[in-house]
Amino acid sequence: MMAIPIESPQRPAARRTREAAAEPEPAAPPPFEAAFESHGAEIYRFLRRFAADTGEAADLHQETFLRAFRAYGRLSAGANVRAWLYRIAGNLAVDAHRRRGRSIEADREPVEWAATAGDPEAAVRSQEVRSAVRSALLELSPSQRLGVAARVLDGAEYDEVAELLGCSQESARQHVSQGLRRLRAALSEWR
Amino acid sequence: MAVRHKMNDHQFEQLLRAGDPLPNEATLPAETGAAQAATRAALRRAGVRAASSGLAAAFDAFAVPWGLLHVAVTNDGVVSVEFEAETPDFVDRLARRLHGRVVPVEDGAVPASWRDRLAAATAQIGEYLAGRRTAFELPVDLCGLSAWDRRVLAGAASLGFGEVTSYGDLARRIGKPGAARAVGGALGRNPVPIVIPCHRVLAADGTLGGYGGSGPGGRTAMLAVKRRLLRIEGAWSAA
Repeated sequence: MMAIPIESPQRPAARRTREAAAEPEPAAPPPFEAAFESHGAEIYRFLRRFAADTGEAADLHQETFLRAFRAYGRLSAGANVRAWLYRIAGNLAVDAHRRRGRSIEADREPVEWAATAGDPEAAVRSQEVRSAVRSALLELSPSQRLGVAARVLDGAEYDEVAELLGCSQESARQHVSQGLRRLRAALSEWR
Repeated sequence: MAVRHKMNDHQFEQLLRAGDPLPNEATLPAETGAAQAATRAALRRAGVRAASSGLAAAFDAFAVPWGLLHVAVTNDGVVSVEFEAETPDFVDRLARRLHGRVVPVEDGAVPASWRDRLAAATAQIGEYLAGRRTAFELPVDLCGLSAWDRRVLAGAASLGFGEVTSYGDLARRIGKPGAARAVGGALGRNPVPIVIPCHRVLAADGTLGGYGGSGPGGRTAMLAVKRRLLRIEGAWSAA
């Protein structure tokens, strides 16, 4: 008696509102699945640089997107989804690095003996260089780290770096140059 | 390899590239593909829908004594019941939770099986509110909820018609004594009130406690609904 489905007078009005609101200026975030398919590979590349090995990179990749999925509904319209995903991934990479402890076997990567053509000393040295660079990068601020990785290591243009960081090109330049300055200081102590 | 301070910026950048910790570009594409596939599978388990159809849920709204009740179903079951919501807000919230399109039941894209399920859900809720039904025979879809929320809601779902308990007692029942507060939080996030009877959980002193979390109805209005449901079940006296 009380709950017979009826045409409520509120409904037609409500639908009109929904249609009218269909083209607001800030775009709603894309479906989560689409964001994952568009940015999953680049996020993996970013994580792989800072993870100790393939397994850790894969774990961090899953964790990044599971977290993103849980929080996705709270993203506001017009949010820079790509920059947001990088931020989540970067935080997880730093946490994993801290957990691992900076000193112990900082690099579990198998030494590529073949590539060094029987020069084990060079191979070990290149391992050490990598892990020093990785540790130094992980000490940077999130924007500096992502900026240096994109600009210096991957050769991206500043307009793209700015988009990744969700900031102006001017700030992107500043993040990269500050990051490089700090890397220089960190790596100068290392030999 | 020590970094000499004399080194210019260009040389330093070259050195950084030489020490790029990204290993083995040759195997990276395969590795990336494998990681992407593993994450895709993990996301499916967590409730992310395939983007293929984009249609996530169908809803209907009907009048009950205290206002408008919105009910939505997915391919898996009843996914949302909301009191006192404005239709566009309801649709927005649900579309965000499900990451897909939410349409009215009259929409041509709605499969017949969804329509039947929605009809069954609204009929059963109507019978319950009229005092002619004591249990629901409906699948529910708790997609997007955390494992803890699901566990608490499963505990609440085991409470029978007219049976009330406290937040602390429900915490004990699900094996987490002392988690009364967290139980309250999870119940507040119940996406399918009435169908999962979170209204049967009261404060330890027998007062109402909370209802509807931060739902759109406002606290007082939501508590009035809780009282009303308990009255239907004969589990709340005027005292």
